[in-house]
Amino acid sequence: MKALKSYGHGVREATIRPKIVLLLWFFNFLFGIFIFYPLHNRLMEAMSHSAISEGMVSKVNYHFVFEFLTYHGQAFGTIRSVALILVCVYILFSIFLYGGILHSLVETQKVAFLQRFFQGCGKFFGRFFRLFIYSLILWFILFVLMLILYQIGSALTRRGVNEQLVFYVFLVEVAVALFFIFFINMIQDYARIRIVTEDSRYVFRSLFQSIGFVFKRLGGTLVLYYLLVLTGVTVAVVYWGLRSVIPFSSAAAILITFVVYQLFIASHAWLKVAFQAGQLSYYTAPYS
Amino acid sequence: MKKSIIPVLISLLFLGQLASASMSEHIVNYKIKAKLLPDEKAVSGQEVLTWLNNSDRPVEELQFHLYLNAFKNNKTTFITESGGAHRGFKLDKKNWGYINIERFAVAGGPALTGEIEYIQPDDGNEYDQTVMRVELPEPVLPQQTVTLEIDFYSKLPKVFARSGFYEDFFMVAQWFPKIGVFWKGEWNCHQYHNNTEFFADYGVYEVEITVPEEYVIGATGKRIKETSNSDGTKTYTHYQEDIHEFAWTACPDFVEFREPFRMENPHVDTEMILLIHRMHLNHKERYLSALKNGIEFYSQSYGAYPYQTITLVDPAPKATGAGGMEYPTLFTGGTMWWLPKGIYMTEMVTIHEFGHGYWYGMVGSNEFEEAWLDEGINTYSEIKAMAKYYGEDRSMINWGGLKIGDLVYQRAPVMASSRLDPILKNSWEFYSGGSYGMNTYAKAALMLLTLENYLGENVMADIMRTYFERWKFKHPTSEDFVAVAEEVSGQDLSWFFDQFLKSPNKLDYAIGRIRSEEIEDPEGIFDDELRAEGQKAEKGEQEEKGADKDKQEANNQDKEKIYRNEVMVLRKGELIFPQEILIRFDEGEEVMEKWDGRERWKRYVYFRPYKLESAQVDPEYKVLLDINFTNNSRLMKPNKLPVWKHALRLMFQFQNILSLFSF
Repeated sequence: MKALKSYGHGVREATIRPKIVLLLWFFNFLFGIFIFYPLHNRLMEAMSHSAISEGMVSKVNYHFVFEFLTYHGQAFGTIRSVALILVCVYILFSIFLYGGILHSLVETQKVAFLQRFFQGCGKFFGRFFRLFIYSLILWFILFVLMLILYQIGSALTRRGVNEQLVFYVFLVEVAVALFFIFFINMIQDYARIRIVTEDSRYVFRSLFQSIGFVFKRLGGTLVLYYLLVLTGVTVAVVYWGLRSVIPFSSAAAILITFVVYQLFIASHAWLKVAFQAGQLSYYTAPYS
Repeated sequence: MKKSIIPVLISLLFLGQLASASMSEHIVNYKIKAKLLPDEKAVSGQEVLTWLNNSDRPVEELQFHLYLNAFKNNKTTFITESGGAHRGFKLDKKNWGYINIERFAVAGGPALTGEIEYIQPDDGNEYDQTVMRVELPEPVLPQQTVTLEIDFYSKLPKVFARSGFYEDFFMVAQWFPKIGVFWKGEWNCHQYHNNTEFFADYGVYEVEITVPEEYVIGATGKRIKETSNSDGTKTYTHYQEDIHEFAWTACPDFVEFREPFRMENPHVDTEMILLIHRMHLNHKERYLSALKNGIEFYSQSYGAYPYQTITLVDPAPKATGAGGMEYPTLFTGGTMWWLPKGIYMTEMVTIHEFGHGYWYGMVGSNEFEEAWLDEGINTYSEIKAMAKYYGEDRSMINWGGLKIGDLVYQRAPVMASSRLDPILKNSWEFYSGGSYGMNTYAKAALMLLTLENYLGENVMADIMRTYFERWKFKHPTSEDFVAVAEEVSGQDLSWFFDQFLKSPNKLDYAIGRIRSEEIEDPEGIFDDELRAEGQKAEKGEQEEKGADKDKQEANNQDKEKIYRNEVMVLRKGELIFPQEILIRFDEGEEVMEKWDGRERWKRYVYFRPYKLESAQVDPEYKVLLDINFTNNSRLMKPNKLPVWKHALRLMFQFQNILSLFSF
């Protein structure tokens, strides 16, 4: 029940705070632009003056795709490397942004939104970064766990020719991996919430206490987390539905699709805020 | 002795009748008794081989393939060349494979087991025992036969390259001592290499296979007898004429399906036998449907499938090293239980391997020396069959919004390849397995598709039919194929085949530049004007000159603008192919030029009152060997729409990744 209430609270908070959502989307978009321009330039050079481009409007001409990868592969490889670096930088940047999100959700003082947001970013970045480093222990444990699981799976399937068994064992491995990835992510969320709500500088302790919190209220934390995951899946389904009805073959359609793309990215930002707000509500609710 | 003359004569008459009815000259006649030894992962066998010397000279020695010795140790030619891996599957060093000749004798003559000598005609590798030579006590005279009795023991490797076992699945191929081909006055009996497949003479095979009774078996040819033995085994006898290889398979987990296939034009009446592993029963219909498509396509395109059976074997999971391989009247497919319907791998492998029954099975190409005659022609056929039955633009993948055709799939490695090997080369002498595969399969197929687009579909169809009809059950060479192509098309095609078969070079035509420039009025100093000026000055008519100029300018404004439209076509590759060039003007006019493509570049200039819109060499993408279609054309104004579309899509995917990793 408490989990449901917190879920509703999270969704409401994310909806009534469009500025946070907009800001998160904006930063994502900004990073995206860094990739868009080299891609655009490379594609412009590769196909805009070729008649083969006519076959690339309503569908994909795979002759061109393979030619592009063959003759522009090196440049494309450079873009891929830049993208990889950008992902790493963005992960760090998102640690920075988490402080802003939580601070904005917690802080009630009447200060300008941006001031409050970046105040939170600055204030908690160091602690959240330490949390990120300490959390690597949990990721390492997960890695070992998955390795053991993989070994068990391999032992089960090494002999015999049961393809179905191999397939289902693989599915179980993926499901277990996803469960634990979500689980560690949830623990990190509560650790961050704890650091912010209690203004704690004891990051390691917060991490362990959040583990304790999650295990103590396992059912509620999991229900809340998976309700939010389900919301994300629903949004994705809606996006795919929308996307499939747009033909994407004229300038207007491309513009509309671009807007739909960005709305989908903004929905990720919205979901991120909903996760934080929902779990914050659950964390601060009295335990009975 | 005299008493036996009459039955002998009757037999000879009967054999003579059979020979006249047979499709091939029977050089070999094998009678083999084979027993599967599941625990030992081996086969013990007794072979009686009658070999006909159909050459015009006496033959003093015989040469045999002992293919399984390729897996005997890590120093064999096959293992050295392959690094112990084949098509991504690895050798298991705990399960080597080999073949022991326990007895070798001329029937009624002395044992020659001690005379066996291993030879290495290709590379001199002393560790390689895949070819043996035996000197005969007496030469085999022209048109005479020799009968040999050979006892052997074949230990199968854990399957990674066509032949072998995986647990209780057995693919028994290249398993018995097999005589080479006495061809062009000498033995053609190559070692077993990583990249080579096979070459053998036609004849008759009668093979008795004994296996534990719980095993389901499939084998080349028609089953003519089946007996249960008292020791818990069963013996199956298979018989087939006009083939040059015999393979069989056994596994208790096979489920057998038999279905007749009949068609009228051309007349085909055969039985489809599917041996499918129980794990893959969900793909039964995929296999059978693809097999029907294959029989129909090849029969209609090249000639009726003549045998009474065709057996499709689905290898056990984890035994995929045995998959995708052809033997006469039997071939192995490949699938996975989870494979989605829109990924046509099962269908492609089925059609491709069935097709080998034509270009390796019936047309006895020498795959050691001219692999393209099988692999290339068959890949060409496969592309056409897949396009016909599954859609040209989606014949490989039509799943999850992704649509990729077989042609695109085959063309990709050709454009990315280096200039290392020509198509026509001994298979074991290619730079790498990748180069062998790219050249003999994909590039050769594109070569034939390019030829088809050049000569026309009907002419090409006639070429292929004639080639098949003329060379089935014989051993053609590349020269024979070229001769048929030239004869049927009525053209000298040496310029084509000399380039594309024998050169590793590439073909790439491009539009180098297009431009439209308005023709300007003459400005500056011209000799004629100078003279006119001088005369006018003498006459004191300087004042009138200004007025004349104004008049001229006014006239020019009324005049239509004329543009000098220039198109530069380049030959960027070394190979030459005649080209069509389509030039479009922005008022809708189209001009089609023809160029022999010989020079490095060609300039086309047009004076028109309008500008160029585009120029395109090979506008219908007929020259499939061209390694770059994108540079085939040039637009005057860039087409930005697809650029924006795909750049935005890729950016969006990147944004999604950012979101995912920062959650």
